[in-house]
Amino acid sequence: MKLIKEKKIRIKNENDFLNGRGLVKELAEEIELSDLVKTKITTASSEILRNMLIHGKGGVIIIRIIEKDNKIGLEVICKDKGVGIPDKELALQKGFSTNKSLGLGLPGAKNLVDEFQLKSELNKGTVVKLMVWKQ
Amino acid sequence: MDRIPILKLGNLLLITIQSEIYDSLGIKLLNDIAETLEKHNSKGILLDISSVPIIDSFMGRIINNIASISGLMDAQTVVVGMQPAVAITLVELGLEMPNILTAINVEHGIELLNEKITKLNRIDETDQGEKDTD
Repeated sequence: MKLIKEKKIRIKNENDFLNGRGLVKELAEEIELSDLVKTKITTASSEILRNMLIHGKGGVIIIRIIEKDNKIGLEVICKDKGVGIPDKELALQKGFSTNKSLGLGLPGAKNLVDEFQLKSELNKGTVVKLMVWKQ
Repeated sequence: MDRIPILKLGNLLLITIQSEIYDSLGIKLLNDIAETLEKHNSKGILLDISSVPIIDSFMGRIINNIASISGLMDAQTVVVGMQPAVAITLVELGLEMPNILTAINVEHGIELLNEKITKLNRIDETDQGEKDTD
């Protein structure tokens, strides 16, 4: 696996949220992902970024262009040092929410990408990794 | 502070979202629409989202709420111009929009709204007629 490009933004407020989301879109355009895949990864990132602001008190987003087995892909990693997720299985169920939202964020984001990873430790933080490959 | 303009067009309100939309802007729009509906007693809302590249679950919920609130205030909502990639993404995200009327462009949206409003007026008139004969 070869790292071609990496960008990082600290997320503390709505403005950072927009910049982070914009950067995902920008790098998706740089590797010429299809319109659909670009929309999916940007929307999935939007869901995770919002979770990060609400539950994680902000954090950092790392966006990477990666090459593996002659394929180009976009990886988005969102890390926070928030309260963590007590029950990951429950959090990935559609409709589960602790803040009156629709509960689509995590399961929806998972549905939109090729690879999804969720790591969380109570009171230590959460890391979500999203990955899409160029077809 | 950013604000999405709401244009009055006869008894309709035309809202074109031309920028990237985020949570606080969406909430503000929802409140502005409710206030403008009351002020002008509008009967229809045309929400043009053809320039919106990303609609996530939060924004999807705002759109659903615009339709629900306008429904309670005796107005119909039509969403026009959703980009294909946005539509597919919303479905895969799991967001349902069961009560949303849609049209392919503004022109068809206005036609659809006028049709709906005329139909509802006719029902009102019939109701009134029945009451009068009682």
